[in-house]
Amino acid sequence: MEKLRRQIEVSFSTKVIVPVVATMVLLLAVTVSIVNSRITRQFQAEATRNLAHAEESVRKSREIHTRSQLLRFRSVPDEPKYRALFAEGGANHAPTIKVSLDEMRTNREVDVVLFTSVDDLKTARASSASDRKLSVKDFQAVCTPVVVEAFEKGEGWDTVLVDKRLFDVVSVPVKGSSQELLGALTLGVEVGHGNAEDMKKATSCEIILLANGRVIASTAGPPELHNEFARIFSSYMEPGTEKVQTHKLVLGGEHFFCSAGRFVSLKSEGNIGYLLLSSYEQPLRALRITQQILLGVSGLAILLGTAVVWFLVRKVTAPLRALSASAEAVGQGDFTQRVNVKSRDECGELAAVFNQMTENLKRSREQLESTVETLRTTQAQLVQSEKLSGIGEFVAGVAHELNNPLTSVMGFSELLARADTEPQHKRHLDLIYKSAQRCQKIVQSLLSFARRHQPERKLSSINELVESAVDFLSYQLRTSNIEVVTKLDRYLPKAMVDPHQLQQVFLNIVNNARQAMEANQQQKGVIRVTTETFGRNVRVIIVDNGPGIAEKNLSKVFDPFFTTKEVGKGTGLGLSLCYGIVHEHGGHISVRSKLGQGATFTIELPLADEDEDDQQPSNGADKDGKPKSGNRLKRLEGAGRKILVIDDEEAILEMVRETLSQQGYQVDVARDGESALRRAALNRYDLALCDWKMPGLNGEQIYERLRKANPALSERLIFITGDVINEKVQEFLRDQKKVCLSKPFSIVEFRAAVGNALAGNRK
Amino acid sequence: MRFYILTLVMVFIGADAIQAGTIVGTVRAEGKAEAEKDALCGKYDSRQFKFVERINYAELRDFLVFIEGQVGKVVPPEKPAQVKTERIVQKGATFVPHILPIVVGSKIEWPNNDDILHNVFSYSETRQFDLGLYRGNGTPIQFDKAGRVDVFCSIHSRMSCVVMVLENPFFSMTNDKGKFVIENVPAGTYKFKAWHERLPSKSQEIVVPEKGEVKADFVLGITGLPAQ
Repeated sequence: MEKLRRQIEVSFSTKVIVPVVATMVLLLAVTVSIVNSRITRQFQAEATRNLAHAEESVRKSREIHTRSQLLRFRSVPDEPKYRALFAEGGANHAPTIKVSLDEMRTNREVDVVLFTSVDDLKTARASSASDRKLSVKDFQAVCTPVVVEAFEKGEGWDTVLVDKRLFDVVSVPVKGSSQELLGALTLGVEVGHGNAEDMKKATSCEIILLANGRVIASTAGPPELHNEFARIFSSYMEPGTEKVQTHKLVLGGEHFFCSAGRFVSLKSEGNIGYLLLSSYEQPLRALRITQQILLGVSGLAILLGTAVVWFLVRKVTAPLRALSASAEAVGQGDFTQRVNVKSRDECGELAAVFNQMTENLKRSREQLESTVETLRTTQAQLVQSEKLSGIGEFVAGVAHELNNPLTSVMGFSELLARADTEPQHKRHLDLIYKSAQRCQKIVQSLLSFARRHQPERKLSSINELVESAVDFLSYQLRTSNIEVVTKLDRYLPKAMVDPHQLQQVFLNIVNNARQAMEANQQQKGVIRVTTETFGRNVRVIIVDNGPGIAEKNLSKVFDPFFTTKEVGKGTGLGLSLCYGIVHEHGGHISVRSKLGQGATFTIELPLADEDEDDQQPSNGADKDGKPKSGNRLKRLEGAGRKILVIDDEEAILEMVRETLSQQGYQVDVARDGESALRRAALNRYDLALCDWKMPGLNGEQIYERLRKANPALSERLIFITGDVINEKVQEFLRDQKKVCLSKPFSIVEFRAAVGNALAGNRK
Repeated sequence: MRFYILTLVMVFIGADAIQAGTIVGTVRAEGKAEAEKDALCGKYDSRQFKFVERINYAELRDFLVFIEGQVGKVVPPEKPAQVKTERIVQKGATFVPHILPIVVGSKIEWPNNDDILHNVFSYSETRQFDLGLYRGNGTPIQFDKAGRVDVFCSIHSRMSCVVMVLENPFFSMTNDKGKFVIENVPAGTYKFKAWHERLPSKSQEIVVPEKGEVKADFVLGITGLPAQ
């Protein structure tokens, strides 16, 4: 169960977290790839644009450069000194023109100056070069086209390659004094690193100038890369690659976009051009950083998201788990489980409903259990009463049939006794009569068992009933060597019972005990009879040390006709009769026993309460105090009256009680004020006698309290005092019109005061 | 050469007039210290002086001192033999000497000692000429009018020289230390002038004693510039 539950739990979290994490990771991947491709495309486009711009500016700068050179050099032959030189034929004198050309080269800051005569294009008439390594002859050779252009168009320019060096050349015609063409001046400026740097500044791209597969100048990379540059350039210059494409390139760990261009050269041979490299290392790095940041942030977000989701899932499932645990407990019958979920959402509702359900279940179950219990008890009682009722019918018939012969027996025996007979016969007759009387009583018992007898109820002393029962059996008990130990509560309240029936109960039980012990006597039999007050009940406990009752028989002892005695010895009616009587009185009888360890019968009878007393006065005396017909206490004036005596002295209490009991009063005693007030609150008393001086509450205080709690009784209060009454007390008694008996008083005196008080009250 | 001329003059004058004195003195150039300083730094290190040619006054040489106007009777040369012939040589694309004072009527030869061709010409009012491109001796030029003649080479713009054609022979170039001596000057009061190619000239009245020396010192420089 636990395992399954855990599996479900895990799978629930997984169900939530896995898709969430997967979605987030997917989102991240998509985002990263989108960003990647977008940015890459963007900066590729940008780089392409940059390169296009760069190319454009290279082209433009070349053009501007050429134009400016033309402007710079166009007027050179018109300078007076050169004009003079050429006009006066100085050009024909080699040293002179050499000096002039040198001067020109220095002044004009060019690398090569060449004078070509119109007569002989192939060989320079004069030349000046900044570098001795530069072969003027070669220079002359490559410059021929531009010189020709100068002759034809008035000016010419070109980019030429001489001895692996690149030159921008401008050629201007030289004219004589009469405007006749003498030749051409050709000025060459080497294109080198400086130009590349300038172009780099203009284009913000790395630039590599190449010619015939060789790097002329480069702003990028170390010389080791020159071969690589040349290779790339030549790939661009291959025939058929007219449209210049942008290529990606990695050089020395740096990423570039690359394109190439061609310089215009009059001589078609030789590929002169440039490579443009636009670095995108920076945007690439930015992209990488962006990616890293994106990944980092997203990773954190995923972690955080997962944690949050986990937390939420935990939070959501916590009430469910609590519910599950509780449901499990409830399923196993523990209804005390309550789900402690306080959230105000569906879970909270569910928990509340669950708790309600548990509560209902619990209540239903309790109801069910109590109902079952009641049912069981009722059933048992029903069974018992059915048994009794069946037997009752039978017994009633038998008893009724027996009554007639018994009447005869009794009647005749009495008649014979009154007749003149011998004393010995008289004694026999008396025995017959008594036996018959006893039979009559048995029959009466049977009839009462069969409910043919209207039970009478009167206030009876249980103690007396017990004692009389024991007395009745004293002969048999003595002969059976059984001692009866009684421990009777002297102040046991009287109970409203049928004394005959209860006496029968005690007789039956004690007799049963006696018989059991007699049959199986191993030691001296002891029967202990105890009476006591137990709550609102009077309890009589009868304990014997006989053989006890077998466990299997315990539940049957109250069944009619159940007996363990030999056939003919017991009717099996005794205990079942007891059961019926006690239950009739609203009481209860039970037995506890173990085989070999004696048996304990406990009889509980309810005490007569005030209501009962009021409602059923007819059982004792009617309102006028006149005893009912047939009541032997008819003559006693105190019958049905209850008197409360309050005194701390035992002797006085005993004397007063004895005196009043003889008159038929029911006497309750209290040894102090508090218990007296309690009794007064519980019972209705016709009269109260109170000692004036006591420990605790004194007479006056009791009177004051009683006046508030029970005004009726307070009026019927007689004080008893042993002290000399002082003036204050006398005044109090006068005011309250109270009677006070002084000790010692005679019984006659006492009876008169009680009678007066009661009589005064009636009026 | 100069001394030779001077000796000749002295002999000539000595024969004519016995009473003659000597002019001695120095010429030096001096810049305005303040201006120089300002030009080099501070608030004047600005566009205003940016293209001003810096002159190291202390190193300026080639001062010429001479008496303005005629001194005594000028005798026109009667024979070509009497005509003084001076020479300015072209060597290393330079005219040597750079300044040449001559008496009116003197001739100057223009030999080209270089390997390359040179041209000698002047557009000055005093004397205009153009010798064309040549090598070797070239053509001598006679100067019959007093005044300044600036001479150039047409194909070498850095080549130049100045010929000062003077009315009397009492002139002298200062030596390396800026000193000069003019002897046998007839006694009298003269306007005595100090000249330099690149500086404003200054003149002072001097009285040449019949015997003895008169001292005349000059400090040339650009003065009277507007106060800054």
